[in-house]
Amino acid sequence: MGFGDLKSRAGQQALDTFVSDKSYIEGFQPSQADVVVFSAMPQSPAADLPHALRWYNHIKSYSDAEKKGFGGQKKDLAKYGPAGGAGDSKDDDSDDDIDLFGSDDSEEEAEAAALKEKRLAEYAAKKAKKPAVIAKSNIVLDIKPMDDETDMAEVEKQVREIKQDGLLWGAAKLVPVAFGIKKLQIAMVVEDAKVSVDDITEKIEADMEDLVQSVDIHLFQKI
Amino acid sequence: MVDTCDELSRLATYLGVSCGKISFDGKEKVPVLKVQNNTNPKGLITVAKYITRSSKNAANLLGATPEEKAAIDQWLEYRVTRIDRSTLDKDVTNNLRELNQYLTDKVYVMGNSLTLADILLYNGLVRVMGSLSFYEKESFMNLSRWFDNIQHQTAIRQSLELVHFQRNQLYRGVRVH
Repeated sequence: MGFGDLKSRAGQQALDTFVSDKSYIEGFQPSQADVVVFSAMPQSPAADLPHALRWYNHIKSYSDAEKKGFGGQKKDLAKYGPAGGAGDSKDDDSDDDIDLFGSDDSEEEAEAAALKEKRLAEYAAKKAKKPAVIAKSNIVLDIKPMDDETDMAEVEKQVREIKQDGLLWGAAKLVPVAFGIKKLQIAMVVEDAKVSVDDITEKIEADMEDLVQSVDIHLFQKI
Repeated sequence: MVDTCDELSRLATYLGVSCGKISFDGKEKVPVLKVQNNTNPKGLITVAKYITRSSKNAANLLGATPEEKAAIDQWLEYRVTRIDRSTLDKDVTNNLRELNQYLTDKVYVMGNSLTLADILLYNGLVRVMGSLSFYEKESFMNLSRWFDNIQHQTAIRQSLELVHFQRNQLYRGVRVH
């Protein structure tokens, strides 16, 4: 990729960015790389490209004879610069080039992938065999009657009429509230996936309007 | 201080001369070089320059013209009076900022060629640079560039550890000093 056209502003900007953290195009001393790029510059970079200017003036300070003596091989201009020459420099001590998690051997990789698939399949089969644990909840409802003359036995009977898959009515008892009014506390066990508690309470309140004033949840336990 | 002794012996190795015996004087542990006729140069700068002068490979490490020599001396003094004596964070940061600014248009401290100033400043800054985060190093771009260049001269660095520099795309908005 290189710098692009070094006669253009864009190319010189690329150079500026490239040398901002380097003293030389390649490595840590002047080389033919610097000579090549220097010759491609039509004139000194503008003052607002300080790094390019610094590099340019430095290379300019060497005589032609000295420049001939720089080490390295002259390469195509396009080979220098970002994603070109210096990125591949072996002088660089950074670890960027090493892919820490990459695998060298693609055969190994394929084997490892096949093994992983086998193991996953085994795990899924094992899981399928185990009967799933069904989530259940134990709920106690407080059903308050309209007034103290309401027949609580009737209320209980009608509540127990409500049947649904996953719903199991439990024990019931009458708890005095005040002024002779008793509320019905009835237990039920529901399967969370199949039965919605809200639906049940709404049903009771709707169907048994005359008898029931309100339904509250007294207790809600997960089993 | 062991550091100073190591530094001077590294310099001597770089220059291809033998270091000689260095002892330390006084509370401030000023290095003193034992020399035959008992003149015993004293002080980091003095000893460093003595070693440099006694080497045939010194080339222009000490400067050619009086102006160059004075400028190099100024940076050697900077090393001892500013860098070595700065302990507070804000002083250290100030030094780094100043150097970063100064090095904007220079490849070496004196401009275009290596001198003793580069070597002594490198040695004086090794510890500080090693303690900076990648972000901080990137914000002192010129200083880091100069430092990276010097440290890669293996003859100068010798057995010291390399300080790592890395640009990071995340630091798009990095505040450059």
